[in-house]
Amino acid sequence: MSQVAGADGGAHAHRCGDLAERIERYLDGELDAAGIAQLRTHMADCFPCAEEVEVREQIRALLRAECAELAPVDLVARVRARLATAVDEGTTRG
Amino acid sequence: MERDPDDRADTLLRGGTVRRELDHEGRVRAFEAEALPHVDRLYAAALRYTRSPSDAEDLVQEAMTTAFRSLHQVEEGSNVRAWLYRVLHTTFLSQYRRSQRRPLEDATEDLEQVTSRPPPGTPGSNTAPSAEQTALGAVGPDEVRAALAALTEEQRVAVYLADVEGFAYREIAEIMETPVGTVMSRLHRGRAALRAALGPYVERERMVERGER
Repeated sequence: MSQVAGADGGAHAHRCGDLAERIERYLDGELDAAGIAQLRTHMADCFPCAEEVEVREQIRALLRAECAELAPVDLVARVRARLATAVDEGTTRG
Repeated sequence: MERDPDDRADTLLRGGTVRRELDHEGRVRAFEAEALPHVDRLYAAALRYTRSPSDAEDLVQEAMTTAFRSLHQVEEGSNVRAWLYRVLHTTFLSQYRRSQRRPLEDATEDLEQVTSRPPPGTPGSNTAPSAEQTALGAVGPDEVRAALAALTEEQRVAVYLADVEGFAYREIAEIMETPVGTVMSRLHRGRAALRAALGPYVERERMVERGER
Protein backbone atom coordinates (compact mmCIF):
# COMPACT_ATOMS: atom_id res chain seq x y z
CA MET A 1 0.00 0.00 0.00
CA SER A 2 2.65 2.49 1.03
CA GLN A 3 4.73 1.29 -1.90
CA VAL A 4 1.97 2.24 -4.31
CA ALA A 5 1.53 5.61 -2.67
CA GLY A 6 5.26 6.21 -2.93
CA ALA A 7 5.29 5.38 -6.63
CA ASP A 8 2.32 7.68 -7.21
CA GLY A 9 4.00 10.41 -5.24
CA GLY A 10 7.11 10.15 -7.39
CA ALA A 11 5.23 10.37 -10.67
CA HIS A 12 3.13 13.16 -9.26
CA ALA A 13 6.09 15.19 -8.04
CA HIS A 14 7.59 14.98 -11.51
CA ARG A 15 4.42 16.16 -13.18
CA CYS A 16 3.99 19.01 -10.70
CA GLY A 17 7.60 20.09 -11.15
CA ASP A 18 6.86 20.56 -14.82
CA LEU A 19 3.81 22.61 -13.91
CA ALA A 20 5.57 25.16 -11.69
CA GLU A 21 6.24 27.55 -14.55
CA ARG A 22 2.77 26.93 -15.92
CA ILE A 23 1.21 27.92 -12.61
CA GLU A 24 3.04 31.23 -12.73
CA ARG A 25 1.90 31.90 -16.29
CA TYR A 26 -1.61 30.89 -15.30
CA LEU A 27 -1.70 33.44 -12.48
CA ASP A 28 -0.30 36.06 -14.86
CA GLY A 29 -3.04 35.44 -17.40
CA GLU A 30 -0.38 34.41 -19.91
CA LEU A 31 -1.66 30.87 -20.60
CA ASP A 32 -3.80 30.08 -23.63
CA ALA A 33 -7.20 28.42 -23.24
CA ALA A 34 -5.84 24.91 -23.73
CA GLY A 35 -3.14 25.46 -21.11
CA ILE A 36 -5.69 26.82 -18.65
CA ALA A 37 -8.00 23.85 -19.17
CA GLN A 38 -5.14 21.39 -18.76
CA LEU A 39 -3.92 23.02 -15.55
CA ARG A 40 -7.42 23.20 -14.06
CA THR A 41 -7.98 19.52 -14.80
CA HIS A 42 -4.73 18.74 -13.05
CA MET A 43 -5.53 20.93 -10.04
CA ALA A 44 -8.86 19.22 -9.56
CA ASP A 45 -6.92 16.03 -8.71
CA CYS A 46 -3.82 17.58 -7.17
CA PHE A 47 -4.18 19.26 -3.80
CA PRO A 48 -0.57 20.55 -3.62
CA CYS A 49 -0.85 22.31 -6.99
CA ALA A 50 -4.28 23.74 -6.20
CA GLU A 51 -2.97 24.88 -2.83
CA GLU A 52 0.09 26.44 -4.46
CA VAL A 53 -2.13 28.55 -6.69
CA GLU A 54 -4.15 29.68 -3.67
CA VAL A 55 -1.05 30.56 -1.66
CA ARG A 56 0.40 32.57 -4.53
CA GLU A 57 -2.89 34.37 -5.06
CA GLN A 58 -2.93 35.29 -1.38
CA ILE A 59 0.64 36.58 -1.58
CA ARG A 60 -0.42 38.69 -4.54
CA ALA A 61 -3.32 40.05 -2.48
CA LEU A 62 -0.85 40.96 0.28
CA LEU A 63 1.32 42.83 -2.23
CA ARG A 64 -1.68 44.72 -3.58
CA ALA A 65 -2.71 45.76 -0.11
CA GLU A 66 0.82 46.87 0.72
CA CYS A 67 1.28 48.78 -2.54
CA ALA A 68 -2.01 50.68 -2.47
CA GLU A 69 -0.51 54.00 -1.39
CA LEU A 70 -2.26 57.12 -2.60
CA ALA A 71 -0.31 60.13 -3.72
CA PRO A 72 -0.40 63.18 -1.45
CA VAL A 73 -3.56 65.14 -2.23
CA ASP A 74 -1.66 68.08 -3.67
CA LEU A 75 0.60 66.09 -5.99
CA VAL A 76 -1.67 66.46 -9.02
CA ALA A 77 -1.82 70.20 -8.40
CA ARG A 78 1.97 70.37 -8.22
CA VAL A 79 2.25 68.42 -11.49
CA ARG A 80 -0.23 70.81 -13.11
CA ALA A 81 1.74 73.80 -11.93
CA ARG A 82 4.85 72.47 -13.61
CA LEU A 83 3.11 71.90 -16.94
CA ALA A 84 2.68 75.65 -17.44
CA THR A 85 6.43 76.10 -17.78
CA ALA A 86 7.28 72.65 -19.15
CA VAL A 87 7.24 73.47 -22.85
CA ASP A 88 9.44 76.54 -22.53
CA GLU A 89 11.96 74.66 -20.44
CA GLY A 90 12.01 71.92 -23.03
CA THR A 91 12.79 74.28 -25.87
CA THR A 92 15.38 76.36 -24.07
CA ARG A 93 17.24 73.33 -22.78
CA GLY A 94 17.36 71.84 -26.25
CA MET B 1 1.52 49.10 -39.67
CA GLU B 2 4.77 50.82 -40.56
CA ARG B 3 7.45 51.10 -37.92
CA ASP B 4 10.28 53.53 -37.68
CA PRO B 5 13.39 51.44 -36.90
CA ASP B 6 15.07 54.42 -35.24
CA ASP B 7 12.17 55.04 -32.92
CA ARG B 8 12.91 53.44 -29.55
CA ALA B 9 9.45 54.30 -28.43
CA ASP B 10 8.07 51.33 -30.42
CA THR B 11 4.64 49.88 -29.88
CA LEU B 12 3.68 51.71 -26.71
CA LEU B 13 3.34 54.84 -28.79
CA ARG B 14 1.43 53.12 -31.57
CA GLY B 15 -2.29 53.35 -31.68
CA GLY B 16 -4.06 54.23 -34.86
CA THR B 17 -4.71 57.86 -35.58
CA VAL B 18 -1.66 60.05 -35.62
CA ARG B 19 -2.05 62.66 -32.93
CA ARG B 20 -2.17 66.09 -34.45
CA GLU B 21 0.31 68.65 -33.29
CA LEU B 22 -1.36 70.30 -30.33
CA ASP B 23 -0.97 73.81 -29.04
CA HIS B 24 -0.18 74.21 -25.35
CA GLU B 25 -3.81 74.32 -24.29
CA GLY B 26 -4.73 71.30 -26.35
CA ARG B 27 -1.81 69.42 -24.94
CA VAL B 28 -2.81 70.33 -21.39
CA ARG B 29 -6.35 69.11 -22.07
CA ALA B 30 -5.10 65.81 -23.51
CA PHE B 31 -2.72 65.38 -20.60
CA GLU B 32 -5.48 66.11 -18.06
CA ALA B 33 -7.66 63.43 -19.61
CA GLU B 34 -5.11 60.73 -20.40
CA ALA B 35 -2.20 61.10 -18.00
CA LEU B 36 -3.21 62.84 -14.78
CA PRO B 37 -5.72 60.15 -13.74
CA HIS B 38 -2.73 57.80 -13.35
CA VAL B 39 -0.86 59.93 -10.82
CA ASP B 40 -1.90 57.92 -7.75
CA ARG B 41 -0.81 54.63 -9.27
CA LEU B 42 2.39 56.13 -10.64
CA TYR B 43 3.17 57.39 -7.16
CA ALA B 44 2.75 53.88 -5.74
CA ALA B 45 5.01 52.60 -8.51
CA ALA B 46 7.55 55.35 -7.78
CA LEU B 47 7.68 54.17 -4.18
CA ARG B 48 8.85 50.78 -5.43
CA TYR B 49 11.84 52.53 -7.02
CA THR B 50 12.73 55.17 -4.46
CA ARG B 51 11.23 53.69 -1.27
CA SER B 52 11.08 57.22 0.07
CA PRO B 53 7.84 59.23 -0.14
CA SER B 54 9.53 62.55 -0.86
CA ASP B 55 11.75 61.04 -3.56
CA ALA B 56 8.71 59.30 -5.03
CA GLU B 57 6.89 62.63 -5.26
CA ASP B 58 9.87 64.20 -7.01
CA LEU B 59 10.13 61.25 -9.38
CA VAL B 60 6.45 61.44 -10.34
CA GLN B 61 6.65 65.20 -10.93
CA GLU B 62 9.77 64.83 -13.05
CA ALA B 63 8.32 61.91 -15.02
CA MET B 64 5.02 63.69 -15.63
CA THR B 65 6.84 66.76 -16.89
CA THR B 66 8.83 64.60 -19.28
CA ALA B 67 5.65 62.82 -20.35
CA PHE B 68 3.94 66.14 -20.98
CA ARG B 69 6.76 67.25 -23.26
CA SER B 70 6.67 63.96 -25.15
CA LEU B 71 2.91 63.58 -25.39
CA HIS B 72 2.89 64.61 -29.04
CA GLN B 73 4.85 61.43 -29.87
CA VAL B 74 2.08 59.25 -28.54
CA GLU B 75 -0.55 58.28 -31.06
CA GLU B 76 -4.16 58.47 -30.02
CA GLY B 77 -5.51 55.11 -28.91
CA SER B 78 -2.10 53.76 -27.92
CA ASN B 79 -1.19 52.38 -24.53
CA VAL B 80 -0.75 55.67 -22.67
CA ARG B 81 -0.84 54.00 -19.27
CA ALA B 82 2.04 51.63 -20.03
CA TRP B 83 3.93 54.46 -21.70
CA LEU B 84 3.68 56.57 -18.53
CA TYR B 85 5.23 53.74 -16.53
CA ARG B 86 8.09 53.60 -18.97
CA VAL B 87 8.65 57.32 -18.67
CA LEU B 88 8.72 56.81 -14.91
CA HIS B 89 11.22 53.98 -15.33
CA THR B 90 13.59 55.86 -17.61
CA THR B 91 13.30 59.02 -15.51
CA PHE B 92 14.31 57.06 -12.44
CA LEU B 93 17.29 55.49 -14.21
CA SER B 94 18.54 58.78 -15.62
CA GLN B 95 18.12 60.62 -12.31
CA TYR B 96 19.83 57.87 -10.42
CA ARG B 97 22.72 57.79 -12.85
CA ARG B 98 23.02 61.55 -12.75
CA SER B 99 22.93 61.74 -8.98
CA GLN B 100 25.45 58.95 -8.59
CA ARG B 101 27.72 60.31 -11.36
CA ARG B 102 28.55 56.78 -12.36
CA PRO B 103 29.41 55.38 -15.79
CA LEU B 104 26.35 54.05 -17.55
CA GLU B 105 27.56 50.45 -17.66
CA ASP B 106 27.94 50.23 -13.89
CA ALA B 107 24.60 51.72 -13.05
CA THR B 108 22.38 48.65 -13.23
CA GLU B 109 24.68 46.51 -11.15
CA ASP B 110 25.13 49.21 -8.53
CA LEU B 111 21.44 49.83 -8.53
CA GLU B 112 20.74 46.25 -7.54
CA GLN B 113 23.34 46.28 -4.81
CA VAL B 114 22.19 49.57 -3.39
CA THR B 115 18.48 48.98 -3.54
CA SER B 116 18.55 45.38 -2.37
CA ARG B 117 20.00 46.61 0.89
CA PRO B 118 17.27 47.03 3.50
CA PRO B 119 16.60 50.66 4.34
CA PRO B 120 17.94 51.90 7.67
CA GLY B 121 15.71 51.21 10.63
CA THR B 122 13.92 48.23 9.09
CA PRO B 123 14.28 44.67 10.33
CA GLY B 124 16.53 43.97 7.35
CA SER B 125 16.67 40.48 5.97
CA ASN B 126 15.32 38.94 9.14
CA THR B 127 11.98 37.79 7.79
CA ALA B 128 11.78 34.69 9.93
CA PRO B 129 8.53 34.66 11.88
CA SER B 130 8.71 35.29 15.58
CA ALA B 131 7.27 32.67 17.91
CA GLU B 132 4.18 34.79 18.44
CA GLN B 133 3.62 35.33 14.73
CA THR B 134 4.06 31.65 14.05
CA ALA B 135 1.52 30.79 16.68
CA LEU B 136 -0.98 33.31 15.34
CA GLY B 137 -0.14 32.80 11.69
CA ALA B 138 -0.28 36.56 11.33
CA VAL B 139 1.22 38.36 8.38
CA GLY B 140 1.09 42.13 8.37
CA PRO B 141 2.43 45.12 6.46
CA ASP B 142 5.84 44.84 8.16
CA GLU B 143 6.43 41.34 6.83
CA VAL B 144 5.27 42.25 3.32
CA ARG B 145 7.38 45.42 3.30
CA ALA B 146 10.48 43.55 4.46
CA ALA B 147 9.96 40.83 1.85
CA LEU B 148 9.63 43.43 -0.93
CA ALA B 149 12.65 45.35 0.34
CA ALA B 150 14.76 42.18 0.14
CA LEU B 151 14.21 41.87 -3.63
CA THR B 152 16.51 43.48 -6.15
CA GLU B 153 15.04 46.67 -7.54
CA GLU B 154 14.47 45.04 -10.93
CA GLN B 155 12.65 42.09 -9.37
CA ARG B 156 10.56 44.37 -7.17
CA VAL B 157 9.52 46.58 -10.06
CA ALA B 158 8.72 43.62 -12.34
CA VAL B 159 6.64 41.93 -9.63
CA TYR B 160 4.89 45.21 -8.88
CA LEU B 161 4.03 45.81 -12.54
CA ALA B 162 2.68 42.26 -12.92
CA ASP B 163 1.00 41.55 -9.60
CA VAL B 164 -0.26 44.97 -8.59
CA GLU B 165 -0.71 46.78 -11.90
CA GLY B 166 -1.63 43.70 -13.91
CA PHE B 167 0.59 44.44 -16.89
CA ALA B 168 1.28 41.64 -19.36
CA TYR B 169 4.82 40.29 -19.79
CA ARG B 170 5.12 42.10 -23.10
CA GLU B 171 4.07 45.42 -21.58
CA ILE B 172 6.53 45.01 -18.69
CA ALA B 173 9.26 44.26 -21.22
CA GLU B 174 8.53 47.55 -22.97
CA ILE B 175 8.26 49.51 -19.72
CA MET B 176 11.57 48.15 -18.42
CA GLU B 177 13.10 48.09 -21.92
CA THR B 178 14.25 44.51 -21.60
CA PRO B 179 13.44 41.20 -23.36
CA VAL B 180 10.34 39.27 -22.32
CA GLY B 181 12.54 36.37 -21.18
CA THR B 182 14.34 38.69 -18.77
CA VAL B 183 11.01 39.90 -17.40
CA MET B 184 9.91 36.32 -16.80
CA SER B 185 13.13 35.46 -15.01
CA ARG B 186 12.89 38.58 -12.80
CA LEU B 187 9.31 37.68 -11.97
CA HIS B 188 10.20 34.08 -11.27
CA ARG B 189 13.09 34.94 -8.95
CA GLY B 190 11.28 37.76 -7.24
CA ARG B 191 8.24 35.63 -6.55
CA ALA B 192 10.33 32.71 -5.38
CA ALA B 193 11.85 35.02 -2.77
CA LEU B 194 8.45 36.40 -1.78
CA ARG B 195 7.07 32.87 -1.67
CA ALA B 196 9.88 31.82 0.67
CA ALA B 197 9.42 34.84 2.93
CA LEU B 198 5.62 35.06 3.04
CA GLY B 199 4.46 31.57 2.05
CA PRO B 200 4.84 30.06 5.54
CA TYR B 201 2.52 32.71 7.01
CA VAL B 202 -0.08 32.16 4.34
CA GLU B 203 0.15 28.38 4.57
CA ARG B 204 -0.27 28.53 8.33
CA GLU B 205 -3.30 30.77 8.03
CA ARG B 206 -4.83 28.37 5.54
CA MET B 207 -4.19 25.42 7.85
CA VAL B 208 -5.84 27.25 10.71
CA GLU B 209 -8.83 28.06 8.50
CA ARG B 210 -9.16 24.42 7.55
CA GLY B 211 -9.06 23.49 11.23
CA GLU B 212 -5.89 21.44 10.93
CA ARG B 213 -4.44 23.17 13.94
